[in-house]
Amino acid sequence: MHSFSRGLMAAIPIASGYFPVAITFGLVVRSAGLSTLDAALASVMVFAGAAQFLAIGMYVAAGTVAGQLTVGSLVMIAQIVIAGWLLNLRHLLMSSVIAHNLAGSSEELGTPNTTSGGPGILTRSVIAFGVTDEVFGVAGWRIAEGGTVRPRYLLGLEVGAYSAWVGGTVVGALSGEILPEHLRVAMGLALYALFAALLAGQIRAARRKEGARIGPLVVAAGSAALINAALRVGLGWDAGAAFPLAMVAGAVIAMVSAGEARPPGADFVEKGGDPPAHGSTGERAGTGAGPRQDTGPGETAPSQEDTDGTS
Amino acid sequence: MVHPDWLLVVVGLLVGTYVVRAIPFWFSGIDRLPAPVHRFLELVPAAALGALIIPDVLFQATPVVAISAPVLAFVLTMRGFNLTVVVIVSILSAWAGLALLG
Repeated sequence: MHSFSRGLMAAIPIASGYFPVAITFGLVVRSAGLSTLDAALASVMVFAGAAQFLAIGMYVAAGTVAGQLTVGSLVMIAQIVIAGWLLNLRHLLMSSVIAHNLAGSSEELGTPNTTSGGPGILTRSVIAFGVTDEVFGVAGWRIAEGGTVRPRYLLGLEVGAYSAWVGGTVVGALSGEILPEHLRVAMGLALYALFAALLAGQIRAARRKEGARIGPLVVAAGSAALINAALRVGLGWDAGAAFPLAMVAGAVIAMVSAGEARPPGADFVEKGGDPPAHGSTGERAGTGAGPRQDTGPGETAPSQEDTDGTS
Repeated sequence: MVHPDWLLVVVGLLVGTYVVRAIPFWFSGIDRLPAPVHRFLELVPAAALGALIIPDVLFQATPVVAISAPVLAFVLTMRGFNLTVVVIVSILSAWAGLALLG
């Protein structure tokens, strides 16, 4: 089979995960007083689930009248964009792993993409658009299996995932009106269920990785939640101001409480691998600082469905 | 129709997200991030998800149902159910909860 078709086939588990989530996004956008076109535009142009949900969540929380451009709404827009950008900074890691393991690049020496056999700048720019967590999950698995991933395979994978995301958004936005009231509210609540599921998925993924710790993830989520609640409820801040601060502070607190001061040898992370497991040998042994929970060898291999990349 | 304020949000997100995703494909020197930066970027999503859930979930119309949905989703995902199943089960159980209590 052609690489593109194989990529498309590999996108099926991703697509079936994206579709209902995208429907929820479409519904949430409509219930915020925005149009089907607004919902579709977001999925077509951004293609980043968590950031899109964050954006619509902050948009609703800001409580501005939909469509009005005032000084206040410009501030809100800037806040949403900054928060979304912070959230998507993690794609820098994923893109760099994929970019350096594209078939045809001189992937070993850190100067990929410039060799004559590699994919051109246009192909690379298109591939970059579709790097989501789930696409990275599958691509990372291919890289682990075969050393590289073919650009056409990636394109197939991304086209499959993107179609489900955009299609589900449109279906959700259009079906908003015909659904009963309770079901619409329930689908709005699914937003929080989705966030909780994504958090649980992160914890599971960290638990699987050798030497990885779930403590910092729990601390990051918990402290960000507490800070956000304190700023919003205690100090009366609006969501746009409180959220980015809570997010950054939560991550920093988790780093500090886990004792992130690493030895100099661990300053740079190897490309392509599973970074936290390597590098600082000997350092992990006895430093039981704070909530760190090293995974016991008995529980590192939960079950076989974990490689499907849809978590 | 497109609402201009939302369009600006979307364009802003497009630029911010795409640039972050594309930089490693455009410039080869970005493959080595300092370890603390790497670690920070790994922790930001968890922090964001925590702050996305709390306190907003407490402000919903039927808080018992609103709080149950993420708790259920968290437990199901930790037990290994995939995202599709979790989202559908959460929607259906929230729907049932609202029908009973709402």
